[in-house]
Amino acid sequence: MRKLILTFSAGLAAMFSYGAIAAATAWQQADHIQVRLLSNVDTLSPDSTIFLGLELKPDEHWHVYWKNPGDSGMPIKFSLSDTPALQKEKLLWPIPEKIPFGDLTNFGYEGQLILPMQVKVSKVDDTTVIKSDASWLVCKESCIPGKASFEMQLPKGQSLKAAAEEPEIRRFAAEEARELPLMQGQMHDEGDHLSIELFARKPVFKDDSVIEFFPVNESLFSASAKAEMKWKNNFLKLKQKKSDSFFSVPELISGLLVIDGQAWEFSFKPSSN
Amino acid sequence: MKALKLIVASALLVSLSGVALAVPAVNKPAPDFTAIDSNGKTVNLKDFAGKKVILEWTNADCPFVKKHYNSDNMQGLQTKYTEDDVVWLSVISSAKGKQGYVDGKGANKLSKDRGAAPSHVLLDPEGTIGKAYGAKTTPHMYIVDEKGTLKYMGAIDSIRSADAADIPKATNYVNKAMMELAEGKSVSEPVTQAYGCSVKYK
Repeated sequence: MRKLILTFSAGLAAMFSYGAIAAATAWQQADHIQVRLLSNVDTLSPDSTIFLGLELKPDEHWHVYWKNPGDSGMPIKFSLSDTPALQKEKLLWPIPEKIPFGDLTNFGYEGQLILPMQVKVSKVDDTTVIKSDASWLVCKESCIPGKASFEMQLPKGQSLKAAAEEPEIRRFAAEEARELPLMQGQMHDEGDHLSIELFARKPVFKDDSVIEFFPVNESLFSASAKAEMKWKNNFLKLKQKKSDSFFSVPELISGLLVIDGQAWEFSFKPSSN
Repeated sequence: MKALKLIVASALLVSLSGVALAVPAVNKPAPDFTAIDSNGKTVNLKDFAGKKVILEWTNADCPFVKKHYNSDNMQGLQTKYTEDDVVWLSVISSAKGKQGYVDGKGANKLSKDRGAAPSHVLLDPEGTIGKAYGAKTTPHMYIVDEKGTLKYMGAIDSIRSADAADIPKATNYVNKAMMELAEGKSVSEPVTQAYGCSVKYK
């Protein structure tokens, strides 16, 4: 009997530790969305770079938002909290979709999404507790704000050990925009419209390319207006209607150009002319 | 003759762009309106010439509106400014059958229940006033000065969230603009991107 109890409790302990130490937390159900935290590694080692992932599954036809949500909405927030051994370096935003709603257009995501976070690991204990907070706005015709806190425990390892979640996180991380190096960028205020001229360092604009534009700045372009674009080799000009909340040209202009499925992000300081 | 044609053509262009641009501009006359308030009284923007007017688009069931009412933030602003002879107009543009729609009686009950202190609650189920002002979200805030000039339009504050804990950390744009106007300055951030629920137009 005693032996039986021992075996039983050992089994229980194994179950609990399996539940606590894992590269994915349990799903949390919020209004119209499920969320959980993922890691691309099963073990942590000091002075390394890992990727956490916030996985969101909105209900069918509901959506969450990109870093510029467009005409309305609110970007997803995803951060580390109270985890001094880890430093957030950046979020790797997957390519958004244009989601029309009445007269408005939003930039966001329908369906499953993993938002990867690049994290620097400085030192590690035998077991590191990773704490993370997330908040979002999930919308269909109405919008519901939500938030969640996660805790994940990862043991120290000799080296990083890839987790089962690694390929899924990589798949979304691969959509992160590459930097588009510019020789020059200009913005012109044309009354109801703004235009941008880009001279890239590389001839990335092919004659038969399919190019889509997403402004990174808010309150700059109307998200529901279509960009008129012309391009050749390393030159691109685009013109789009101003946002209703446009007031002045910001100090730094950034935008995303999705060229034949590859995202490029450009940034420039408009000259004062 | 040729000159006349040109004039006609340009006049036409002006009027066309006037129709297309439903969004008002700051430092230009605020769109005039006639509305029925929750007590059945007819209210016209011109009635308030000589006073500052703050317009607040609202929808009691919207989580972003709840953020500012459950924390008493909105009621505090209403009390502060109406005591200072400013006219506060809460506008409900939710269409009948949509989230936030109320009739006059419902609006009065709502004001009582949430301790709101606007000068008037305007009922705009057809969305006429909302569309004239380009109101997109609840809340969406506008300030009109004593001469009927639009001085501010946009968000209530600088932290876009549904979390009341963010209110003390945020810059309240209405307070900031009102303070600058009181000091005779121009509003430093006269247009901001409003955040909240979309207005539930018909």
